[in-house]
Amino acid sequence: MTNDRTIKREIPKNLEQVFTVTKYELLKYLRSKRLIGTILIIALILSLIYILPPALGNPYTGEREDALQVSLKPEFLAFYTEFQSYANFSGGNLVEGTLIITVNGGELPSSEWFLLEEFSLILFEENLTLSSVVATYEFTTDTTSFGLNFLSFAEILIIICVTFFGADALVSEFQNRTAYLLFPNPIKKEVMFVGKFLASFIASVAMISIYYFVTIILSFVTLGEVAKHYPISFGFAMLFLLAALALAYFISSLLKGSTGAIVLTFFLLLMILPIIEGVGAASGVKMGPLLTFAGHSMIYSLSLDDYPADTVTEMPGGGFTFHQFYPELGLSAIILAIYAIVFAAISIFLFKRKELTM
Amino acid sequence: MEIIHVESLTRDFGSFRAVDNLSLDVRNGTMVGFLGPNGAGKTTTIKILTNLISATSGKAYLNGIDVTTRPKKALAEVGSVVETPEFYPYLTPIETLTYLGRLRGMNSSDINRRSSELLATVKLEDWKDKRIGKFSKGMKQRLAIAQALLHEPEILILDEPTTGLDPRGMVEVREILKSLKERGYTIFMSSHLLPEVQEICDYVAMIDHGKLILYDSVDKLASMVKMNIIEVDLAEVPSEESLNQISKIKDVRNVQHVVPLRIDIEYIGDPNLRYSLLKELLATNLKVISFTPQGLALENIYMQMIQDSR
Repeated sequence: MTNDRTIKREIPKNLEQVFTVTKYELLKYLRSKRLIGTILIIALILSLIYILPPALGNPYTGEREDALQVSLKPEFLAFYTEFQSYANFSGGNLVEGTLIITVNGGELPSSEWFLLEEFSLILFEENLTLSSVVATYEFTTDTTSFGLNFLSFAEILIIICVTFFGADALVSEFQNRTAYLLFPNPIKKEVMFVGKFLASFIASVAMISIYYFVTIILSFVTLGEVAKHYPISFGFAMLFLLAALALAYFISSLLKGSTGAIVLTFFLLLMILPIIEGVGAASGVKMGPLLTFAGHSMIYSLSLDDYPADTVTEMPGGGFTFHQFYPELGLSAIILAIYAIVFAAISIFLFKRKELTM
Repeated sequence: MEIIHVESLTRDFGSFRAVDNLSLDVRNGTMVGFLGPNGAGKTTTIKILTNLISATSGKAYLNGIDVTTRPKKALAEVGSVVETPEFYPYLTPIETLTYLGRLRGMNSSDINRRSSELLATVKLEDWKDKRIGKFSKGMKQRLAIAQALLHEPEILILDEPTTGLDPRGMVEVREILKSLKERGYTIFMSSHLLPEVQEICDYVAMIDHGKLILYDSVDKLASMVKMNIIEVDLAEVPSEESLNQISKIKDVRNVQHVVPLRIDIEYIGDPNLRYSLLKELLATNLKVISFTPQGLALENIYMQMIQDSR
């Protein structure tokens, strides 16, 4: 018997199906509490990081008065023959040209003192050891320090996004039995994977972009300028996001329950890997290949012009040595890319093999 | 032409063999009921056919395309309901059908037209814009049937399609299936409801322990039934003598006095011989007030075949 009712249709190309899956996955996020939750977390954290320092007495800009303890010029300053006394002056974030020195209430002409910035000292022509000397100056937080404060949470935000938008993306299809609806369609599993991964990535990028955008706006509004390496930091954030998302999808393709996948992803990225980093630092081993260590490059790349070097600190009395390591940017980029590719490839392989046996 | 062709299909779960060297052909435009007890391998077979699980060995072809190696092409003209699928709770029926329609290559006007038709057919038109998260199991089952028919596929593979429906819903789905059969769909349907299968299917495939134990047309199976049981209700308690007389009637194998006013007569022969049996019963002066064949031909065969294979 022939069937004259059937309408033959062209099966959509893989790329078209990827966008269809992505569209409906994004709709899921748009209608979920997770997206709203993430936005609330961003708003809360940005507010706390921005408001707390001034509220605790550390404003970003302003005017400061420091009483200086003046001493006679020591031997190591003998080179400066025209000066007789000196005082330590930290003058953090001093705005150039705003420093005024007053002695016993009267302003000391700038020709009679000299700021030796590299040693944080002020030298005086006269012996002012018995005078009351006050330094008055305007200060401002430098844009990189301001940005670093905010970016330290951006790394955690990525972990939250990966957990919310990626950790159960695959396993939930099995646990919630929606796979019975989706899988018997003319669509390859790798196409489903890419569509879902793309949606997770887009949702996470949107959240992270909001965070970076608000940080930059706050920097501009507060300091009048913005650190110049935000684009590089954002690039590393995207690499870290891809790598962490691939790890989350790997866990999602491996486990059988959504809760397990969410908990494991979150704690692996937020606690377990950082603990390994810490143990490595305590042992003097730089955990360069570790995902979260390489991920720190999104923070430190903001201070690219003054990139911190690894340090070793001897703790007094105990012979204990503390190491502070920083990721190498080029190597970190390669490591993050390898994580993203390898975990994504393994996840696709596992997802294709995963069967609906429940 | 065989639109579904299963060849030596085997599936093992560890040491347990769920489907054992199963071979089966379904002709285009026919409706096949796939029967068997729980754990017989029905759902496993259907899951392999719909690419939800893989086969340990063997092949399964849909429209001549091997579903185990080219699932995307093989499933292009297949609509399926496997177990009771769950839907995305954040989508409405219209959005769900649009999503699936897009994946199946339908354009917007096609999707709109078919969605309206099908939601009316399965009586969900008033719910088309409500999120599925609030739907009952029966509503989801009806939506599952709608999505299977959305792209007007050549083949329908249904795993117990009336599960979860109330009696009215079951009747409605049965009517839908009958109309699809009339329109030439090829339907491969597993079910535990034997009267339903006997009523609407052309063929019956029976499976037990993963093996195909019977595959024939419903008509032929009905005519093959040799064992019939008739329930006879009486107005007064029959005497021993009457019972002896009945047991001596030609082709009567056994007479059971079930309760005082009822006897079950087991007889061998064509169901059409019931009339002569009734005549002879009346001749024994029994006060017969009802004379009802017990069960259906398919039920009898099912019980016999499954018992034999155990």
